[in-house]
Amino acid sequence: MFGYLRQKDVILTLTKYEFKLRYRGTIFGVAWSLFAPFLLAIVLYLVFRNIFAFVENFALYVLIGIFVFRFFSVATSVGMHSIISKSHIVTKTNLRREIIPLTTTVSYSISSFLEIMIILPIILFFGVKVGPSILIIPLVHASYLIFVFGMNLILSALMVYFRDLNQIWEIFLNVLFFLSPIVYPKSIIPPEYLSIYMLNPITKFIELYRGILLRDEFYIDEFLIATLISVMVFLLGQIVFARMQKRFGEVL
Amino acid sequence: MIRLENVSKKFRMPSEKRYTLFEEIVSFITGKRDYTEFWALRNVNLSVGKGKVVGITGPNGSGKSTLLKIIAGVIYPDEGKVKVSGRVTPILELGVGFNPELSAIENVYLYGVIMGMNKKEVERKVEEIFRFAELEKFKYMKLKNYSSGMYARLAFATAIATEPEILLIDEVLAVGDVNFQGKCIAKIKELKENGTTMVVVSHSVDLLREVCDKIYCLNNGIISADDGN
Repeated sequence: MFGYLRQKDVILTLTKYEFKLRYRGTIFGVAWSLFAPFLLAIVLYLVFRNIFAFVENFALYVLIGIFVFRFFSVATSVGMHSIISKSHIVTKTNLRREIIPLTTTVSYSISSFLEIMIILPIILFFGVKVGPSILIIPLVHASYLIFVFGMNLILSALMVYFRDLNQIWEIFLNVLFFLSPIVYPKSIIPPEYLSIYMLNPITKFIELYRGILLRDEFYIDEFLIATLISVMVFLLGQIVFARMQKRFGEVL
Repeated sequence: MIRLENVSKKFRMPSEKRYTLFEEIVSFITGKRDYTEFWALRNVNLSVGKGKVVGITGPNGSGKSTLLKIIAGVIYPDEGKVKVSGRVTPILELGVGFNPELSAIENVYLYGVIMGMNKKEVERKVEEIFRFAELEKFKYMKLKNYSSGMYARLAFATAIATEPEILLIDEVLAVGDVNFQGKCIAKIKELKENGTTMVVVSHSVDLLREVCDKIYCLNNGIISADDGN
């Protein structure tokens, strides 16, 4: 069932060309893709800075929140189309189908990792001391990747049968943006709702990145819980995908 | 080795194609499920021994491609058993995964790994692929500047280079000019000599007679041996 994860030549080659094609012929390609999230971060910072003045380094707080959330929102919005947009590979070859959402997820996780590396100098510029815990970021990112891949397995399979899923997902992402501690601190959530609020795995990832980048702290127990959730989402995705892919060949 | 036992495949043809969640919910609530069923294959038995070449012919819509897709594992049968042992390379269409924005050589890598080669194998065979396709001079040209004949030749050369144990070919031998078609058939015969099991679908019975050990005919999803008339 998981044998495809060992086909690293196909996965890497497809990822490489997907990555290459995304930034093809545009010198400012990467810069353009960063423009929107930076602008959003600045606007949200200006709007909320007086309300949440007590949050330390609020500008960076918002910036990190936005970039961590962005991996999930961009990778799933694109990833959910991965199967239908490569339908010819599904209907005309015997390539393991999980590889298609996997390469999209991996290529966006690389983009996201680079984005976080790009904001690193900004963090240093604001006088935050980044410590050795930064070496754990690849590990956190890998855990996040597993979570996003699990979601993409489910979404890309559902998308084959329900073509309006992207509309629903867009609304869902908007709601999720405000259900995650991106522009506000977690402390404003009423304690009685906190346990429900914390079910959102994105929250865990945002806090892990912020801990590492702003306070040089790594919450190992939170990391283990987040990874456990990621693995469970991945297993669920694998089961859903394996069931739904049986009729891909006819429906696409 | 390929063995099919009593394989049947049913397709649903919705009278109205439903694609959205909203439509699905509406039809679920109203209990309306309007599609007509259609048996693309009925009780197909087929056995292809190792190293044998089997041809399948028949009119349009008789189920030839469906049969090949079932052997390839792209679609699953509703009834019956399918047993395929060995590495399968299905060539159901040429150049699946080709990207016009990439150069020819990049596309060979891309298509090669999709067809089941690993990177080392592609590296080893890339010269041979371009030589076979007679496109050595155009290795670094973007694929969008290729003519359709060049495109098909490159795709065929790459697909055939996978050295499969089982090769499935759907109507793709008629690519390129007469000269190249001759090369394709020669290549098929060479693979046959080397013990590759093959299922070839074609409208051209003459072509099938040239390369196949046995020819079957499909008619409305029912298979029968072609006794050569």
